Amino acid sequence: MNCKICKTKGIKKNAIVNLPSYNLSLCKEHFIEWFERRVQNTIKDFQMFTKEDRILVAVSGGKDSLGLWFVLNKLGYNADGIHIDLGINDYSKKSREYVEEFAKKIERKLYIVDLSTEIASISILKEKIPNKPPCSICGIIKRYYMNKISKKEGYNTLATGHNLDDEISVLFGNILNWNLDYLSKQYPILKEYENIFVRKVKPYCRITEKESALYTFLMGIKYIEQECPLSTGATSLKYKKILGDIEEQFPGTKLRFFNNFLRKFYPLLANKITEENLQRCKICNEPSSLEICAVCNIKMKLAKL
Amino acid sequence: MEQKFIFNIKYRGKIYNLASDKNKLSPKDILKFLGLSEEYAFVVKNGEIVLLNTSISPEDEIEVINAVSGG
Repeated sequence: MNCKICKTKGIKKNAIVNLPSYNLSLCKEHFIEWFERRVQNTIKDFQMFTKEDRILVAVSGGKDSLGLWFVLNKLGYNADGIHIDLGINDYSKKSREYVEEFAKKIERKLYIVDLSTEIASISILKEKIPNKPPCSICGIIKRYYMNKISKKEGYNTLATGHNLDDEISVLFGNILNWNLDYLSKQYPILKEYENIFVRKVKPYCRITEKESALYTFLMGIKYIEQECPLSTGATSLKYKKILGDIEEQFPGTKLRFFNNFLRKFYPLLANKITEENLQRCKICNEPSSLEICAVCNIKMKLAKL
Repeated sequence: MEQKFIFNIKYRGKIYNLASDKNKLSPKDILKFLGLSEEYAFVVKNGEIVLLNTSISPEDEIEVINAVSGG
């Protein structure tokens, strides 16, 4: 199979990537070009940020976040990184090494939050708080520190590497449960709110997991390939598998599902977003829907306060 | 005894040996052997990403990348 773009220029070159949803086969050079343009267009379409903004990229050490950090800088944006060391044995150790090595390589500032010293490792929290799934605890803590550090260090935008597959697996779960509150917040950009929340953006929301892995591989970026050992059996992974099976049968479904949600359904919910329950945590002064925020609550359970 | 061809496949830090009657396989065969979907995984032959219709020999260096991640 030959590259379709090269063909239009009268050149015969082997394709390395086939993108059935776009009816496109591309060589290495044109895939990279296509990918970067797609990220750039997503940033512009959703008015995520400009070259004047200070962006902090949440980097886990996986393909999406490292690739995103790389591409944002390549496109000329001002993006530094933040990594939360979750303390999940060898997995976290390796992840942190990949992130630190990469930060040095691209010469960008990296902030590290070590959960073992801040609260306790996720492995310990999982044992101490058995009634909450570890992914849920992890999500609460990550969101808390990412928002807190962004504000403290003067960044106005927090970028995460959530890709199309991540987005639609969450969307699928939220629709199965008709969780309107979560659906009303599922958008590629969540605007800043007073001095409480920084802007949150997902520039990879129209990039599939495979496209992201292909780009990161082609850019020669080393990343942790293993899945988080605590996420095994996570519902979102099962949903990804189901949606992947549908996509194989009907190419383009994943993108259509997401785009049509944003275009047709989200506007019906968007006006329902309120921050009326929002207050400041009595202990740490960070945003919370209760008097004491979820992270301070966890700390109290562990008698760290 | 019928000759078997051994394909060494690197996947997530481990080497898997695929014994086949055929001396040529496709990336599709390799993904099937590992139980992976082409929707999420791809094959790298001698350092280059290849399409599913490519031919792979036992002497090729084969690596499989699975894009699925969680957490």
